[in-house]
Amino acid sequence: MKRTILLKLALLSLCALLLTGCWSKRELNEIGIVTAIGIDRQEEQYKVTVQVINPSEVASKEMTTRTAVSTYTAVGNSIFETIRKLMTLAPRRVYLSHVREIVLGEEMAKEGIGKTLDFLSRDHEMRTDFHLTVAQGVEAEELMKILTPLERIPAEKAFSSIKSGEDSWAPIEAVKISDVLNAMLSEGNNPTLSGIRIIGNPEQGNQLTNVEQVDSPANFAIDGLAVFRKDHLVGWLNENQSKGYNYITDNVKNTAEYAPCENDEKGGITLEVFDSTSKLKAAVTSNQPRISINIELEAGIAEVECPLDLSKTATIRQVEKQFEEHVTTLAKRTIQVLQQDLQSDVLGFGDLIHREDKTYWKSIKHEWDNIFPEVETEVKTTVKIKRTGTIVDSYQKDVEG
Amino acid sequence: MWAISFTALLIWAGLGIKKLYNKGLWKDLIVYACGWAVAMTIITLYRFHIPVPNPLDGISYIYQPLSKLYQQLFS
Amino acid sequence: MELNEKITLRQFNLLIILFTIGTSILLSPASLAAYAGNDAWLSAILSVVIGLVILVFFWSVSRQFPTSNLVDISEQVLGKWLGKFAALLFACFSLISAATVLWVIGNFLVTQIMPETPMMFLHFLLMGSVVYGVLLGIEVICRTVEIFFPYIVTLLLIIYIFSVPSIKIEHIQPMLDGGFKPILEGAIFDASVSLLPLIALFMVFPKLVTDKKRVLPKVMGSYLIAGTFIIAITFITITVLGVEITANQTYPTYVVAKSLNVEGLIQRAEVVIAVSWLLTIFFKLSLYFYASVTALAQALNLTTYRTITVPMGMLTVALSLIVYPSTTYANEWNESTWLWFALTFGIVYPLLLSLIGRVRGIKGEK
Repeated sequence: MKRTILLKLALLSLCALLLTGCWSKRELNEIGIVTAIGIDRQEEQYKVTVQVINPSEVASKEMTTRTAVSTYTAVGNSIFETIRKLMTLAPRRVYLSHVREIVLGEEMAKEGIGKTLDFLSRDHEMRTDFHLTVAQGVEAEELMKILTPLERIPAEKAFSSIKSGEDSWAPIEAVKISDVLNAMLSEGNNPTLSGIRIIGNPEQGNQLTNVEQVDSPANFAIDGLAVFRKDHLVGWLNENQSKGYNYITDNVKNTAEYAPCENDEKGGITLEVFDSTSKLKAAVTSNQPRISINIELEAGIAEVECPLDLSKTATIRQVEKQFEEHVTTLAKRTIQVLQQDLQSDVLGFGDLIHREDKTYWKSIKHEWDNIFPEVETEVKTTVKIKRTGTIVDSYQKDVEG
Repeated sequence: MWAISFTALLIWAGLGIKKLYNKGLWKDLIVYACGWAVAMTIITLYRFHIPVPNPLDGISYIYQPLSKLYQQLFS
Repeated sequence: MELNEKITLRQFNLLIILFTIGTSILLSPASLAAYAGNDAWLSAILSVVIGLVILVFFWSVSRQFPTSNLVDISEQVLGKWLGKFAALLFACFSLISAATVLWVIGNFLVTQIMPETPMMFLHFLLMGSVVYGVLLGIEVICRTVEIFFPYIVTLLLIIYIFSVPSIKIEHIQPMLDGGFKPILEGAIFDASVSLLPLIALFMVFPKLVTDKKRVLPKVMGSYLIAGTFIIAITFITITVLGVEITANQTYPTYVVAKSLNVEGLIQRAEVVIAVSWLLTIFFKLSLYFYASVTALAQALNLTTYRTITVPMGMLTVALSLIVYPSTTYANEWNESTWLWFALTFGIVYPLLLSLIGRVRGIKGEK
C-alpha cells in the first residue's frame, strides 16, 4: 500500500514537471515583439529591417524621451538567417507572431518576391493576417524608420490606415499573403500589392521630434497599387487607376467620387458611395474572349458646387448619368493601362475565362500573356442616388441665380 | 535529465516484472519484459542518434509491386 | 480474458464519429487538394460514398459472427495456429498505425505550436494518457467520448461557421476541370485514411456492444455525420484559401483557423482547432492502441491485456520516434504504401475470414 502511494507521488511530481509547459516558454521580457519587417535586396543578399516594440515605452503612462519602437537591420543570405543574425544587434530574441505589416523594397519587388513569400508562409511564427506592401521609390529600410504621430507604433498606423482606407476610400486595397499567393500561382491571374510612400523629409522622420510637432515633417502614406507579373513588379497604378481597379474587382465598400460640373461650370459634385458591386462575365464566341463588367453603385450626394435643381428627379437622373460615364471611364482607363502599358492580368480575366470555358482555356493558356492585351472588354455602370443629404438644393444655385 | 528518466523507466519496468513474478504469470512476464526491452533499446538508440531499421521500409518493400502498378494506372 | 465490459451502441457510434474525424480533419484537405485540385470536395463526397459501401461490408461480416471479436473470428475460421498468427499480424498493424498517429500529432505540435520541445517528451505525455485510458478499459474511454463529444463538435462548428463569410466560390470553379480520374484517386486515398482503419473497431464491436437493434442505419448515420465534417472542412479550406495554398499546406485547416477574422471580434482562433484535434486524435490513438493490445493479449492467451499495456505503450512511443524520419517521408509512404497496408487488413483480411467462414459453415459462438 505504501508503495502505491509513493508511486502516485512520483507520478504527480512528474506531471508537475512535464505538464506546466515550461519547455519552450518565452516570457514577455525575453522577447522582442516585431511589428513590421522590411525586406530589401543588397546585391545578392537580403537586407532585413525589423521594427521592435519597446514595451516599457508603449505601456507606461508617463511621457519618456525614448521612442516606442526601435529598428534593427542586418544583411544575410536568406531572410531567416538574417533575422537570426539580428541577435548580434538586438538584446532579445525577435518574435514574429505579431507582425502587422511587411514592407518590400521596390528594387527587390522588381527582381521578384516569390522567394520572400516562401519564408513568410513557411515559418510557423508568422501568421497570415498581416498586410503586404511595397515601398514606393525608397528602400523598405527607410520606411521602417519613420515615427508616426497619433499611433505610437508605426506598423500599427500602417495597418489601421490600410484597414480603414479599404473601408472608406476606393483606391486602397488590403492585401493578405493568401491573396498574393493565390493570384501568383493561378495561371490566369496576377497579384497586386498596396504601395506605401514617404511624405516629407525622411531624415527627420526617425527622430522623436517628428512626433513632437503638431504637423509632423515626415510621415508615410498608403498610395497606389503595385502591379506584378507573376512575382516581379512591373509598374504602378496611380490613384485614379487604383480606383478603377478596385471598382472592377469589387473591392470598394465606401468612398467619395468627384466629377466636375457639366456645361463648363466651375466646381463639381461629389457623391458618397455606400455600396458598390461589380459582376464580371466572360464569354467566348468564335475563339474570341470577351469580358463584360457590370458595376453598380449606390450613392448619396455629399457636396454640390454646381447650380443644380436637385429637387427634380430629372436632375438626379442627369447626375446619375454623369457619374455612370465617369466611373466607366475610370474602369476603362485602368483596363487600358493594364492591357497596354503593364501587360499584366491583375484583374483575373484569365481565371474568368477558365471558369467560363475550360476547353478554350486549355488551348490558349500558354499564350495567355500575349492574348490578354487584345481581350475585348465592355464596361457598364449603373449609379443610383438614394439620398441627397440633409439639404435638398445647393446654396450655390441661389447665390448665382 | 536523460539519465534520470532512463533510470526511472528502468525502475518502473523492474517493479512491474517483480509484480508479475510474484504472481507467477510467466507468459505475461515474457511479453512484458520483451516489450520493455525492445522499447528501451529503440529509445536509447534513438537518443544516441544510432540509426534503427524502420519497420515501414520493410512494409513498403512488401507492397512495392502493388503501389507501382497503382501509380501506373493513374499516371 | 476478462471481458465483462459493456458499451452502448450510442457510445459506439460517437466513437465511430471521432475515430473517422480523427486525423482527417486536419490532413485530408491537403491531400485531397493535391490529388483533385479544385474538385477536392467532390473527391471527399465520393470518398464518403466509397466509405459507406465498405461500412456495409463490415456490417455484414459482423452479422456473420455476432458474438466474436476479430481474434475470435480468425481462430475459429483459420484454425488455432494460423488464426493466432493472423491476429498477431493484425496487432502489429494496429501498433504501427498507433505509432504513426502518435507521430502525426507530435509533428503537428512541434511544427505549429511548440517548436523547441523534443518530440519524445510530447509523445511520452500523450501516450501516458492513452495508456492510462486503456488500462481503465474501453468502457471508460467510451464514457470519455460521451463527455468530450459535444465540446469537439462545438469547437469545430465555431471554425466552420465563422469561416463562411470568407468563402469564395470562384476557387472551386470550373468543376471537373481535370476530369474524373484525379477525383477517384483522391477519394480512394482519403477512404483508406479515414475509413479502412475502422477495422480496429472489430476488436470492440460485436462482442462488447450491448444493444444491437437497428445497428446498420445508426452506424451509417454516424459515419455520414463524420463524413459531412470532412466534406465541409475540405470545401471550406479550398474556398477560403484557394487550391494551390491548400495543397501546399501541411495543416490547411489550421491555416484557415489562423486567418479567421470576424470583424476583429473573433480572431487568432487556431488553438481551437488544435484542441479539438488533440481530442479526436486521442480517441483514434486510444482505439488503435486498445485494438493492438487486446489482440496481442488474446492471441497469446494472456490472463488480461492490462499487464502488457505499459510496455506496449513504451513500444508505441519508441516506434513513433522512428517510423517517419521526416515529413516528406511520411507523405511519400502514405501515398505509396499506406493504401495497400490498410487494404490488406481493412478489406482483404475480413473478406477472407468471411469467405472461408461461409465455406466452412462456421458461425460465431461464445
